[in-house]
Amino acid sequence: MIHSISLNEVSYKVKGKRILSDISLNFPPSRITGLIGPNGSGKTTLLRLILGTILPTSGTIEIDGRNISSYSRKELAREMAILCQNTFSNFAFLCHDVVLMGRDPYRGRFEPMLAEDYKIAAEMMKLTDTDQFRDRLINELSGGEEQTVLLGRALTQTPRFLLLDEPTSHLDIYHQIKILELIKNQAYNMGIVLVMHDLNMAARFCDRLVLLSKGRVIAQGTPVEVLTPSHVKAVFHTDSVVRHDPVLKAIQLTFLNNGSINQGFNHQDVKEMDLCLTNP
Amino acid sequence: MIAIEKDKKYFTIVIFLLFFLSLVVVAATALGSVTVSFQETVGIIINKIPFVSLDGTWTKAQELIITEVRLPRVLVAALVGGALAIAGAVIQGLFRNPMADPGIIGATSGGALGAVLAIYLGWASYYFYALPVSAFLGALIATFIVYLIATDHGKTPVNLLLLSGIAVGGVMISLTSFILSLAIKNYELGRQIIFWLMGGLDGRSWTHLKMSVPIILPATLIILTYARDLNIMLFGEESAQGLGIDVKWTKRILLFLTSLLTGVSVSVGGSIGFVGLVIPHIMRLIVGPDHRILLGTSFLAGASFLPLADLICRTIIRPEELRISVVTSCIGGPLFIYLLIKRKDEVKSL
Repeated sequence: MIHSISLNEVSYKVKGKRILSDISLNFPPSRITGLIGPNGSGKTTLLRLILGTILPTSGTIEIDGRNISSYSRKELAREMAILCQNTFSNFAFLCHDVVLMGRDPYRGRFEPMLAEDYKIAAEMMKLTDTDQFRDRLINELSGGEEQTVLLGRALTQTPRFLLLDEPTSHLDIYHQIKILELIKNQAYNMGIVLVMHDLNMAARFCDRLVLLSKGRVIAQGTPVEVLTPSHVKAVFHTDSVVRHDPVLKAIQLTFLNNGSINQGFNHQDVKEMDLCLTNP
Repeated sequence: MIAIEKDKKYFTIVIFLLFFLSLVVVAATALGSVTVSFQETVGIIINKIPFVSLDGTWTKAQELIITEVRLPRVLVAALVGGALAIAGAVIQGLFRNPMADPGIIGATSGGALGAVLAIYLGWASYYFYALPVSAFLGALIATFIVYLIATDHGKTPVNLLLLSGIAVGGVMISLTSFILSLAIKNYELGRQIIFWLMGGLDGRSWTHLKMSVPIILPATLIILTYARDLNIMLFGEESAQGLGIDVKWTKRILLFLTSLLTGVSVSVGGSIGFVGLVIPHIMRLIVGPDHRILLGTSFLAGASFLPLADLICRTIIRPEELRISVVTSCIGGPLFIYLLIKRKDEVKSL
C-alpha cells in the first residue's frame, strides 16, 4: 500500500484505563476519512497517536510501512499537518507570518526562510482565499477567518496527510462549508483524516467513515454503510431516520427526540421508514 | 507591502537601540565624581581595544578611573540588564503569560537563597567566588526542583510549571527570611544580606565581567535561534508539535538557558527587580510579539536600561549609593502602570 497510514492492533492506556483497544485501520491517500463517535470515544486520542504526540501502549503505527516512532518530529511534520481544535491565536502576528510558519519543518534552526518558502506560503494563501488577510493581524480576524488562515498554514507544510480535529465545530455555516470544501478540493493529492461531530457534514464530505465507541471501532466503510439508524442508536442512543438527499447526493440523518413515541413514531415505524428510504 | 515596511521598521529599531546602547555606555562611564569629558571617555575606551593607541589629553588617574572602576561596572550592568530582559521575554513567551518573569521559575529566589547562605555562613568573606557560585547554583537547583515538581509522565504543562514556580519560590523566600532573621543580630551581616537582596553593582570589576560573559553571551545567542520555535509555541503545544517542534526538549532547553541567564545575573548583581518583566513588555508594545525581533531588541533595551538605572544609583544621593532594585522598581513600576492604563487594549492582545 503506497502513501497510507496504517494502524496495527493499536491500544492506548492511561493509568491502567483503556482509551483505545486493538484498533486496526488504514487511512488511504486521496480519500477523506471521517472519524466519528460520541464524546470520549477516543477520536482525538487516535488523532494524537497518528500525529505521534503520544505513543501507543501496544501495536504499531506506520506511514508507508515505516514506524512513525522512527521519524523525527520535523520529518513527521513534513509528512503530515494538523489543524487543531484549540489553537491560541490571540497574538498580534501578521497572517502572512503565521502561514509562513508552515515552512518551519523544512528549515533548520540556523537556516532562514527561502524564496521558495515565501512562494509556497503565497500560493496556499491564494488557494484558501486568505491572501486578502496577508497584511492583517490574526488576532483581529473572526473565528472563521482565523481557522481558514490556519488551514492555509497546514497546507503550507505541503503534507501528504492532513489531520483535522473538529475544524468547524464552533464556526458559522458559511465558514463550515467553506473550510470543508477547501479540504475536499485538496483530497486529490493528500490523505485526509477528519474528526467530526456533525454526522450530516461527515456524511456529506467524507468518502469513508470510521465509527468509534468506547475505544473500539464499531463500523467502517462508506457513509451509507456506517450511518445506519441501528449504528446511530447503538452508539449515540438516539433514534434517527436516514434518507438520501438528492441535492447533496449524499445521505443525511434526521434525528428524532429521545423517546420518539412523542412524535408519533415507535421503533418499528423508524425501522420501516429506514428500509423504505435506504432501498428506494 | 507591509511585510517589507515591517523589515525596514525592525532594522531602524535595532540600529537605534545599538546607537542608544553605545550612548548610554559612554555617558554612564563619563559621569561620576571625578570629571572626565565625553570625548576623553570615548578616547580611553577606544584605547582599551588591542592594537589601538591614541594620543590623549587625559591623565593616568582619569584613565584608571574609566578602565578599572567605571567601565567594568557599566559593562556588567549592560550584560546583566540584557540577560534579565531576554530571559523575561523567553519566559513570557513560553508561559503565554505577560505576567511571567524570570522569577517565576524559581531562579531569582533560589539564587537569593544561595547568596544569602554564602554570606551568612561566612564563605563569602573567605573566598571571592563563594557568593556568585553559591547564588548561581541556587538558581539552577531551584529551577530544576520547579521543573521536577511540574513534570508528570514526561510532560510539563506550563500552568503546573507556574504553580510549582510560585510554591517553590515561596519556600525559598521564607528560608531566606529565616536566615536574615538569624543574621540580623549582627548588624554588619544583616546589612550585607539586605543590601544584596536589593541588588547592586557597586565595586563590580573585570573579574565579574569575565565570570558573566562566557555564560550570558552564548546563552543569549542560542536563545536567539529559538525565536521561530517560540513563535510557533505561542499558538499552543499540540499545533507546535504538528509543525515539527519537539515541545518537551525545546521547553527544557529554554528553561535551562533562562535559568543560566538569571542565575548569572543574580550572582553578579543581586536580586534586580522589574527588568525581566517591564523591558520585554515595552518592547512588545513597540515591535509586537514576534520573537524574531522581540528577543534581540529586549536584550538591547535591557542592556541600555540597567546602566542608566545604575548611574542614577551612584550619582543621585552621592556620597551614598542607592540599591539598584530601588531604582529599577521606581522607574519600572510607574512606567508599567502608565502602559497598562494608556494602552489596555494592546496589552491585552500581547
